Amino acid sequence: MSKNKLNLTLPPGSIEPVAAVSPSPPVPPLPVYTEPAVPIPDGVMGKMSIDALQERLEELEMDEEQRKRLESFLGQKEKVGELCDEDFEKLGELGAGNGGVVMKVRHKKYGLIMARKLIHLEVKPAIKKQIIRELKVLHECNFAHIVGFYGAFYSDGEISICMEYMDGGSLDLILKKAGRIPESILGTITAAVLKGLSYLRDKHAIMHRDVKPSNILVNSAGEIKICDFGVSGQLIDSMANSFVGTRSYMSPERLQGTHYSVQSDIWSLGLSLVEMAIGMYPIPSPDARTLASIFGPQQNQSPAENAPANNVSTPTSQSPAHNASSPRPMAIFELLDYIVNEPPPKLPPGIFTNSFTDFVDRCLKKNPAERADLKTLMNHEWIRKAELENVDIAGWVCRTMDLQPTTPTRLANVQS
Amino acid sequence: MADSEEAEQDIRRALDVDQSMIDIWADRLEGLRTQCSTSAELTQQEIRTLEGKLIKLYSKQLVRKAKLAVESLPVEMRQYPSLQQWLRVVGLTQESIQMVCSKASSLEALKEKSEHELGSMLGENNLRHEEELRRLCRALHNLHRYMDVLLRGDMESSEMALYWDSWDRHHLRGGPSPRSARSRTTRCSVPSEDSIPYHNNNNLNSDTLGQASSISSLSMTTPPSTPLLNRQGRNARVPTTPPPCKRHQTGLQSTVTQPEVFPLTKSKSHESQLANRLENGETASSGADPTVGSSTTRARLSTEPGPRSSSADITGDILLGNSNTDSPINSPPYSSANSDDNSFKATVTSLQVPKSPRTPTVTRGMGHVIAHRFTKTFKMMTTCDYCDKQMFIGTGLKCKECKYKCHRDCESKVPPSCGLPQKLFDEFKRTIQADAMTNVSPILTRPGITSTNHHNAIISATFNRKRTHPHSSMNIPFQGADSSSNTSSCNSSTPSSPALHPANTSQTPQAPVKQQFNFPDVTLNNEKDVTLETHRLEGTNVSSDSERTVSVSGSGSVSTDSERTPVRVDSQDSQVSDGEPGDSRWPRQNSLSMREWDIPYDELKIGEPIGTGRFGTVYRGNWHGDVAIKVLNMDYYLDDDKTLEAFKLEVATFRKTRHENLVLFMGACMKPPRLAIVTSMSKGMTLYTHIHLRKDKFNMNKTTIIAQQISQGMGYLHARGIVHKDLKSKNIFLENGKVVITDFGLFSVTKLCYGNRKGNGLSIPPGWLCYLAPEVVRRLRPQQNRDQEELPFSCASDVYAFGTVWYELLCGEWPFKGQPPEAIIWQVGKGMKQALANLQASRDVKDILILCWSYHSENRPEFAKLLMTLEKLPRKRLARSPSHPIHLSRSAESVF
Repeated sequence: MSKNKLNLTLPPGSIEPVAAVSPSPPVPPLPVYTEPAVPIPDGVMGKMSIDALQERLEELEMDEEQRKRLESFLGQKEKVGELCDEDFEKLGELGAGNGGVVMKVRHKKYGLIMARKLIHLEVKPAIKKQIIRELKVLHECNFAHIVGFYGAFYSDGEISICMEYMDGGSLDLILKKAGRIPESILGTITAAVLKGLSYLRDKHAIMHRDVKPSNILVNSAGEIKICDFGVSGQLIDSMANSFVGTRSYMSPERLQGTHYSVQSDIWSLGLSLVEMAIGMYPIPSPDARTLASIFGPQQNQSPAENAPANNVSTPTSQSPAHNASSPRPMAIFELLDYIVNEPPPKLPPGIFTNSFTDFVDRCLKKNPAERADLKTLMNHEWIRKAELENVDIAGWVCRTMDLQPTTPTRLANVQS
Repeated sequence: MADSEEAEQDIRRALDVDQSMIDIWADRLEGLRTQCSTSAELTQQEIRTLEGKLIKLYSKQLVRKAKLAVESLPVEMRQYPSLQQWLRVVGLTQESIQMVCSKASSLEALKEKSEHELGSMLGENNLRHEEELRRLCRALHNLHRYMDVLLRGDMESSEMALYWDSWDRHHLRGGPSPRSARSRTTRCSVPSEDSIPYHNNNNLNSDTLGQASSISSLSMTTPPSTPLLNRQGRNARVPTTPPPCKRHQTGLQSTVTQPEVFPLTKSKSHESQLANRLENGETASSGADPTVGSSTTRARLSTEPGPRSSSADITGDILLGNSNTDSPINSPPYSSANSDDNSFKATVTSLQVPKSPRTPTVTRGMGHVIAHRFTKTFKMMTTCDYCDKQMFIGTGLKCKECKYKCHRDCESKVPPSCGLPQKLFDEFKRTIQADAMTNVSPILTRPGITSTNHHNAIISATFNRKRTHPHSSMNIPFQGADSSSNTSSCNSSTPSSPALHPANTSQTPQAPVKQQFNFPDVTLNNEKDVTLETHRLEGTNVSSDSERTVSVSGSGSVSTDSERTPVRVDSQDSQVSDGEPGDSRWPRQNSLSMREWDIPYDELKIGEPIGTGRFGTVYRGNWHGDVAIKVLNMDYYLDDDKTLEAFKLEVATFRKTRHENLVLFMGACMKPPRLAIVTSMSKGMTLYTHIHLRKDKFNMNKTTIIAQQISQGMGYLHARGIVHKDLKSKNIFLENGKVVITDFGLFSVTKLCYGNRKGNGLSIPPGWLCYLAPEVVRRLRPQQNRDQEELPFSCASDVYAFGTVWYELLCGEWPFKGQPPEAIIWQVGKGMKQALANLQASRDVKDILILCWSYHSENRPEFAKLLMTLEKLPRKRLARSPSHPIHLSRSAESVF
């Protein structure tokens, strides 16, 4: 099968037309998304009738509860309407991500809490408009596992993107607190992420391009949503600085500048899973001693099916000093070269279920053609098991992050 | 619990390992000091390496030990590291060790002592007191530094100079060491900034040398075939390149073994130069006379391989051999700069190669420095011109220019004598061979020959007045084939015109540096004593200053124009450049250093901001006219004197840049918390604006002209020893078709601002990665904190960046367009290049790209070469503009 299994096409006019002169074969055609493949009724959200939306929501695979939540979100959003700088009151900073800070804000008039991502941009008005326009695609992304989008606007040199506030925060924050994330929780999370990615691909023909723990959000209602997928090529182009950190989730084929596709997101997901499962960024691979310090000495042999991994109960005992950073700081190139040239990371044997280990292995094939695709993964044993399991994400989030459960629907029952 | 137990166990084990390593290295060090000839360069280098290793080991051990409670340590480990062993490692005598041990219980305790306390611990009356104190202080200082690094958890900086030169010097033993001299030495030996590679050397002379070397190395063109050059690398900063000075020093010592003398010489050199100037044209200065005796003596001492006789034939009065002792020290470049004709002549007398960076050859050496261009095509059987042994087919090399033949093995030893007349050459060869017998490293000590009518005339003329000291430089009016190169923009002499030949060592033919004058040791020698007196009057500080001056000015003068463009390099200046940044012990120096080119902040009228950049904000402003003022963001480095000093030092060198294609650097405010850089204002737009924003297309003709001007400006910059480090289309202005390059050398200041980012991550401005050479990209780290090693920018990395600008000009976009930073980092780091298949351009045009983007920095052409290549591209002739500074106004956009 070709690498472009999903038949992603490049919409004309995406990003910038590459000049004919440009000799850029190794540059992968940016898989872009500026224009969603699905026709958008009207550009602006406010004008879209709830009915029309509801109709479209029907098509999506969501359960009753998810649908209701989504509808109520859309209702709120309609009420709030267009946004501007004056509407907001700053409540605090949620984090600083790629290219900007994320603030927790309250909409003064409606008292609605939102997350507002501010990206500093000094660009011409035309570019600004283009970015805002491109961001409107986000209005169309309504799905249980996609972070809701209220709107975007430009003020005072900054683009603001207002999103649904997820009180549990991102998985990297949770990971820091919890040390590691239990396999059963990861199963549920993975199922949600896969659905989110499928939604983006199927309904909007976009790939995420930046799957990593910090872009997976949870809340005290047990919802799991992905955010920060690249929607606006112009925005990416205009961003002042990019950051390269100590970790990279980028797939080998992307690093090498060759053609890449949604398969690249799957690598990133696999890498994120290993990190969350063992509590440390797995590149370079942790040595036996480090693993022993995390999991205790018992891990070594005998891949025991259903090992001790299933206790959702305790936010896993925090093993000391393993989560923050990999043991020795590497130069960025060194790290990336490791990703490209060394064997892919895998889960340590004997600690996780075989199905989980297998799932991860399939995600972390260096050759994107050998890597499992979204559909295969959604039918993977590990995911199917996870979906049957009915894991209490809300309880886990609340316990881990010291939150009050917001929805009484499912109280923590797994443990107590 | 178990975890911490285990961790402790680990630490204990590590402590033990450290200890055994220390034992091994300490023994080795001891052996080197006592059993090897410490005057040999190799030995010294080895000693330094070991010293560095030991410092690291001790630091690690101390840091580790500090993590554990003393009680938890087994008894034998509590005494790690052994104080006694430490002191032995430092290089104290047995009695001193006992004395210190009786007064301090552990290394931990010792390292908290002040210098004064240490001094009294050592006992004042010890003959070797000063040297021992120096060693101890430096070693401890280094220990502190490295422990700091460890504690901060920084990446270890490979370039940290951690040695303290613990070999014994000749005159130490029993020599009456005047205090002043000593203390000066100590001071100089204060480890200089790591970030400023050329300051790494501790000795005065090495200082000078080092500077010069770094500069010259920067500016020099390395012909691929010249082994010497290659060995040293273009960039003095490359960690693997041992600081050139060492080599040099060794050379010196191999003949003379009196390294300590140098500081004296040096300090004087400054004075002596002054004296020269004053007395210029007069007969023997009173200063010179008294010295004669002593200097002669010295000369004799030092001359081992009797170069005199050999050289005598040719040079007449000029003595050879001794010069190497002083040469590094003396070349007071500024004299050259200042000199009018007269003074010039005076200096010429001793025309000598002062400080050649990389050049061992220099030491005793030839003034003539044109590297051969060896090729392997040499097929016949013949004898090696170097060693006179037979060469067999395929084992030899032959210079394309002058047909010099030698073994491949000899290649590195062959002096850069390309183009020497046969007769001279034979003479030279003889001396080489004579030398080779006596010297370990023939290259180092090879006596030069002074010749040339011109030269001789001057020499003999001056000889009477000045006692010319034996010096070995071979000064030959010869221009390398390529000599027309670089500096072209500043009026250069015609290639064919006989010019005094540069002493500067291993410059390749294209190196712009060629035309320097080297100042003679002679002067220095002569007046040594005299100057010394002066200094004494003024106190130690002064003398140290002057030393600095010397070295600094040396670096400044390396560039071609020293003779042409009178640049006043004064002691302040020199200090600036020299100032050992990290050393807070000499505050005076800092304040002094800024004097000359400091612009009082109050005098600046700051207007509206016109941009912000990595390190601050640029304002339109007024200071005797319209200027651009870059006000640096200071929050981050107020606590970081070291980096600040390093930066100041770098800025100091800008002051000497005058080139049509460079922004005019007017001055700086360097008093924290006010830091600003003032340049003229650029009109026009940046290439970035033209290319990326306005999408302007330049035709091939225009493109070539722009590229040529960039090459000229960059060639000049490199000739001055300045690495741009941030050459990109945003830093290149186009003013009515004229290129103006801005922001050179400022990149380092961004280091100061790294602290402001939250979280860890390297912030990458758009397009920036495309300009970074593979060797730089490979060293990028997520946290670029200030104390970390600097990125290995070099002239060659500037050339890489030029390649990218060339690409932008051709294609209207950046290479690797659209790829995420990580992908660019990996690909560039791996040596992958933007494919050019779709680029519609001639072979020659693409070749430029390919060459500039060479993975190996040594394969990238120099700007001089590029300029030639560009000139050959088909197009209309570019009218050369005069090299004298033109008044330019610049716009502010440039600044970032």
